[in-house]
Amino acid sequence: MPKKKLGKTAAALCVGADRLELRIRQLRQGHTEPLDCLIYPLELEREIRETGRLSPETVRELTGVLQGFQDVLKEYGVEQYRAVYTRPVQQAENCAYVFGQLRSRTGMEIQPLWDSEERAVMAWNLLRQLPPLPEEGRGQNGLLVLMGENALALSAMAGKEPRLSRGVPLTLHSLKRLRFAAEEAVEEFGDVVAEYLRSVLTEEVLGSGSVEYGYVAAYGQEAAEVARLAGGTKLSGALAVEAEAVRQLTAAAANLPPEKLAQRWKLPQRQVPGVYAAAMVLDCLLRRTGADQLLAVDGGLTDGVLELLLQPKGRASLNEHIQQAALGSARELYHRFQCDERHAEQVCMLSCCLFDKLKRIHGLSGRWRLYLQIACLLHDCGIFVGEKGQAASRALLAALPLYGLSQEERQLAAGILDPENGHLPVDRVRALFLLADALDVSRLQKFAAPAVKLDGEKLVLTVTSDENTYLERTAFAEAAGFFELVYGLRPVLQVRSTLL
Amino acid sequence: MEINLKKPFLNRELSWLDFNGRVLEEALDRENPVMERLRFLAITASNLDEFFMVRVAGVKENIRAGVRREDVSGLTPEKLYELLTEKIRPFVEKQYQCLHRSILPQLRKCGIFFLDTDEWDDMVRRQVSAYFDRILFPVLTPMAVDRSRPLPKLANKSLNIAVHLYDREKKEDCFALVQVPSILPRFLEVPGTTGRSFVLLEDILCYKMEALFAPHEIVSCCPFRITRDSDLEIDEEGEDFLAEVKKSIKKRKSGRPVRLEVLKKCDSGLRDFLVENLKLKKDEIYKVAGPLDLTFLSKVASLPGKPEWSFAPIVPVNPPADFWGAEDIFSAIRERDRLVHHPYESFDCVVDFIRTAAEDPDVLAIKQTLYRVSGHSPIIAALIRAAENGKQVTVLVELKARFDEENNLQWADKLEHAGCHVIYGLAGLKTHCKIALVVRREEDGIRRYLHLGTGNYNDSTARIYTDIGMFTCKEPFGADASSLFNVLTGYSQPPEYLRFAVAPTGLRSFFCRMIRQEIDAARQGLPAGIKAKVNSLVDPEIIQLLYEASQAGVPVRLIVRGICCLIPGVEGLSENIQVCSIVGQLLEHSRIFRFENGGEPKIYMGSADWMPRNLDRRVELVFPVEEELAPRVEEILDVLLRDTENTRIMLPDGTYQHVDRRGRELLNCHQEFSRRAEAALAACGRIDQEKPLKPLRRQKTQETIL
Repeated sequence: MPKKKLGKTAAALCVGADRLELRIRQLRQGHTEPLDCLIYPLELEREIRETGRLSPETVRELTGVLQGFQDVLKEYGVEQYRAVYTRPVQQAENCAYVFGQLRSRTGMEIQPLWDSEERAVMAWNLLRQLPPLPEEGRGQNGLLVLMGENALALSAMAGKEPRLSRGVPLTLHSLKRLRFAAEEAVEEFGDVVAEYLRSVLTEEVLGSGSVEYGYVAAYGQEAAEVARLAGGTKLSGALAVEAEAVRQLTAAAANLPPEKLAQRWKLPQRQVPGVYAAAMVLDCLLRRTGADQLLAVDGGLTDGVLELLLQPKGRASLNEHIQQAALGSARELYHRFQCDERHAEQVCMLSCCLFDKLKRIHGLSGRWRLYLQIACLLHDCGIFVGEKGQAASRALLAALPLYGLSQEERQLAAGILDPENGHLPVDRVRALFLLADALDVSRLQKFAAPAVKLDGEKLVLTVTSDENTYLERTAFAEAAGFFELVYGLRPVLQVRSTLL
Repeated sequence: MEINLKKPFLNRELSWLDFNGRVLEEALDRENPVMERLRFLAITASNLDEFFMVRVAGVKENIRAGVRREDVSGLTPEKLYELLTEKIRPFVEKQYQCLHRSILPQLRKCGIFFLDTDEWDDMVRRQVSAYFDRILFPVLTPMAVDRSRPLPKLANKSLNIAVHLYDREKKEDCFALVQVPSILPRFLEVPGTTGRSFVLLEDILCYKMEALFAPHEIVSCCPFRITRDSDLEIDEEGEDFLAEVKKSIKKRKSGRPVRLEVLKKCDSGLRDFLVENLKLKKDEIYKVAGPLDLTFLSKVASLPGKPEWSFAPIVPVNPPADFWGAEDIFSAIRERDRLVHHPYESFDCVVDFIRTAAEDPDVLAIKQTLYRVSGHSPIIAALIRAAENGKQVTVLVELKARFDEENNLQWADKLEHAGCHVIYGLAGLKTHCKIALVVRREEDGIRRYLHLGTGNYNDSTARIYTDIGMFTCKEPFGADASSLFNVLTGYSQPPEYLRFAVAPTGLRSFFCRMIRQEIDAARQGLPAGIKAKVNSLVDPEIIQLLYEASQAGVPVRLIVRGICCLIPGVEGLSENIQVCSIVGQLLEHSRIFRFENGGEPKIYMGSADWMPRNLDRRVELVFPVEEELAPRVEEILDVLLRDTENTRIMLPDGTYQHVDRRGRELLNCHQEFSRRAEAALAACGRIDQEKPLKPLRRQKTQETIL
């Protein structure tokens, strides 16, 4: 009897600041659909803030809940899941011990999820649900707003590609407290939020005022609720609503107590503060950007993780998104640092060519290719400092808001520019970078992609140029030493002329 | 009754007594078959016991605690107790009049005799003596009561005999007690010349008392019975909830006595002895003509006899028409939602649902709530089987189901041993909703099958309680069911339900919103109307809104079997509200709600009555009935509202009167539903027969699988 082809189910579990969340979805006819969602409130962030750690009682409670969640996973026959804990939990002094204990008690492997990945996953899930956007003109620029549990994350967009990304230390939770926890409602609350946002939303994220925005795209349950309340209409996977409607919604809600808002919005009272705070933030951002449309997508981190697990080639799609967005933001940054764009792109192209052709030798993953590209694009960003330009580039690279890359990953990318790194994979990539940089030392882009051939102990790079390449050959010879040291292969540059 | 329009609510306790009065009317009704009259009388007695154990005990507790606040009907606990006593005493009098003047004579005509001691002849005496010597004597434990041997703890509702003795040696009076063994039948058949004759166990004991206390002289003896405060107080914050429940059950057995029932003929010495030792007040003594504890009459009613002595039996049709021809219950539900109306349609399909799930290799999990289950519950057997088959089985056993706590503890234990994940619900809330969820892995993914009901998963009561169950596998219902169980297991906070309205988080607001919607519609001149069938209507907020609805011109028709605190038909207050109560062969138990919704009626069913406890202190579930099933539920409501045989109309003074049958088509809703269930099944059968060839079962096409 042929084996039944059964539907695919997956689960995402997130240990977050104030809750444990388990979502289960299944893939049916090419679409994912929700099966179950469990939210167990647990004030982990508060405990960590107050005591610096998670207590044994909390660990016991976590264990009990996770065991319950495991039962639910069994009920749906879920075998594929991803369990993560987010930044607020990572702050606990005993974080590693806690998750070690949880692993031994429940058998569940719960991994840390860095902010960068969290944002990338959410943005990826948001973007794939947006309607087709204009490819040029004002409408193509947008501002992406990710309403996460730890912070708001904003990304300036050009088309579907994020240019710059920035986390804003503002949570809906803090706004809720500000608006609803006070004895008396804060007057002109909208102005307070606007002022605060102005203070944290610098021009770096929004552009220098010359950028005209067509839309604000927001991701989060509260954002979707705002769009629904403002009369949004379904457009692809998003709810689209005019900025004016959001303004009217917030104006009509100003200074109303939560119970009145609950009645007016037909929402449970406990949901009102979050939705109100989201409305205020979105209204402010729409005003600030001048965008005339809000596109809101319902979802959270776990929804994104689930799409990744369930969608065919989901991981590859996310990686592609991260790559494009990270490179996009790197390019945006080299403009800001007034780097030599053509040189940066040339080094990047040559490096990638070497990386791809030597893949069998270095054996590094595609992620390293991305670090290499980022390093190539931004290797000159600190050049304005002067003699210590390289060191400044490294420091900047490690600190710049590069989309989708964690702090650790930015350090790795920066390490490519560091002559004393000593970390083998980094040095392998650095050796490629040095050869590529040497090939455009004159910054005149004399070579196209080289042909690469392994000839015994030699690596022969053949390029074509009719120009004077003395400077490049000299620089190449200097860089070849490090390459040979790392790979045990001697690079040889062969320059062919078309004139011969 | 005088209605206080400033506080237009009837007191719930008094209203309950009226309900029991309606049941007693059925016992008094000579048109009812004699055995059914006995059964009704037994029900009134059992109801009254529970009323004393919980409600009267509660009122007395309030008095003891010094509560002086008036309830919504304007009564203080003291005043209420006074009114209750005023009402209960004549009620009890009426019960015994009914028995002695009406039912027993009718039974005699049928050849069934309950013999008083003075009616015993030698043959009877010989048999009684033999029975005493061989059966009764070995299980008796006579207990002397004096200064060194205080009155033992007497079990709640147990029948005892107080004996006044004279010690010939010491030449002094003394007292003793004998418990009438509850393990033996209450009545014994004895030889008679005509028909069948019976004697009561306590009469045998009294007759043979000397044998127990020789050489003492028996001055007098008299049966008595005490009723204790039996409302459980469980410390739900305690570490071990199970242990707390067990502790509370034990405590209940020794709750404060709230009623002493003695025979009128009991001599004053014995009565004083009991009052003194039990520390009772005068107003707690009920002198009755006897026999005590009329609940045994339900056993008498079950004696085999002629068909005309009982109602024509309502035999559940099996399979229900909705499941006719279905080879696989899951594909039938996948095809469309299914509805079953019990007891006209068999409860077996519900049992089959769980049983099939237990054996089906594609079923991953079963989750179910259990509130009251039968003695040998096939549902529990199926759940155990499912666990043995490796399914994930989660069962919520409500340990606080009043008077079923011990039973449920045992079930919980059995289920747990079988590997089921047994949960006990949420602290402070009784889980009263009736829901079973089956998670099944199918070719196109996970599908959830549900049974949602208005009544318990109890195959025994499903033969006498009218309830409705719905089977569905619609995704929003499945998602809501999963969410509800996640809340019940304590692993998730209450979500926003897609279809369900669930107490205590959202049911009150749901009903209020729906009623307000009707008020608004009526004010705007749109079609408006409310029809509801509940067991009790007590909640002041709902009542107030229904008054508002009436004043706005919304026609409100309510079928309230039991307590109704709303006063209908009062000019300027409730003239658009009609309330009726259906009491008959079957116990009306389903809860149905219909809102006109501006001409697009919405129908809901569920487990909740309109009482504060249902809306605020229980986990209750109300669900919509959609599409093709809605007309059927409308039809059920319509038949109930057209009933002329079992229905009483509530009048503005709070009393009830039978429907005026003049000019109306006579209709007994219970018989009518039974007839319809049979007709529906017969119609299915006819379709089969009318086909020239044996019909092929519908092919499982891709469409049906999906």
